[in-house]
Amino acid sequence: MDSNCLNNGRANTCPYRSYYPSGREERWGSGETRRPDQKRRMPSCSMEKPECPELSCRRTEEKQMTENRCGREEKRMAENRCGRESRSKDDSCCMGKSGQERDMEEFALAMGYVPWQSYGRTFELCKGLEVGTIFPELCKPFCGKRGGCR
Amino acid sequence: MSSQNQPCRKELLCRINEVSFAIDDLQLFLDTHPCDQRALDDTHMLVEERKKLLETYAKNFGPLTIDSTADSGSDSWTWATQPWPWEIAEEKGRCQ
Repeated sequence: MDSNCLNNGRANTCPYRSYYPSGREERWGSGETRRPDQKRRMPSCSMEKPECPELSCRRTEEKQMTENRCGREEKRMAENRCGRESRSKDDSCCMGKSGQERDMEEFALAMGYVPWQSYGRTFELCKGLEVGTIFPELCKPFCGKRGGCR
Repeated sequence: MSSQNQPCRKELLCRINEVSFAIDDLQLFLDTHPCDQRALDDTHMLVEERKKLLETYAKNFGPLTIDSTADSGSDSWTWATQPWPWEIAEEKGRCQ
């Protein structure tokens, strides 16, 4: 394996490798804005792998990576939980899901998302100064219990 | 200006703080939504209001910002001799 292969191997560790345009490495989410109603084109095992005509070793590694992620690892994860085929079915069978949790199903774990804010109603200015924001949707008082008001 | 027509210093300062904070928050919103017309309109309106408030404050009590030093109409450098905003709370006999 030459140095190029090493570099590409590092890029391949990202589960969204197949999302990248062919032959380019781009940071996930850099400068990307998206409205909540717009569905992100999420990568999946069936998506085409990026083309890299110059480096034949990349294709080999990607194939291996795809097999690892979509084959053995995923199966093992499913078996460890309910023994069902997919993780989503598995979760819904083990515990009830709220609508919010279901909405988040398409999103990957451990990635941060900031939904697009729309300009709507604003607080009275005296209230805004008091609570630290003029936007009611950003008013999140910390109540000392599990991050939410009770 | 007679003392009867003079606005309440603390109320004026409070309003300036409120408007200034709202402008700061709108500024943050506009950083990511530079073409939002409603936010732009509100910001321009509040910036105008803030200018007038600072002018009124400077005329009555001395300049709050260096931009309004000329509005105070004083012959001396009241910027340095007037009470600081945090000293106003210690003044008595005015609006509570």
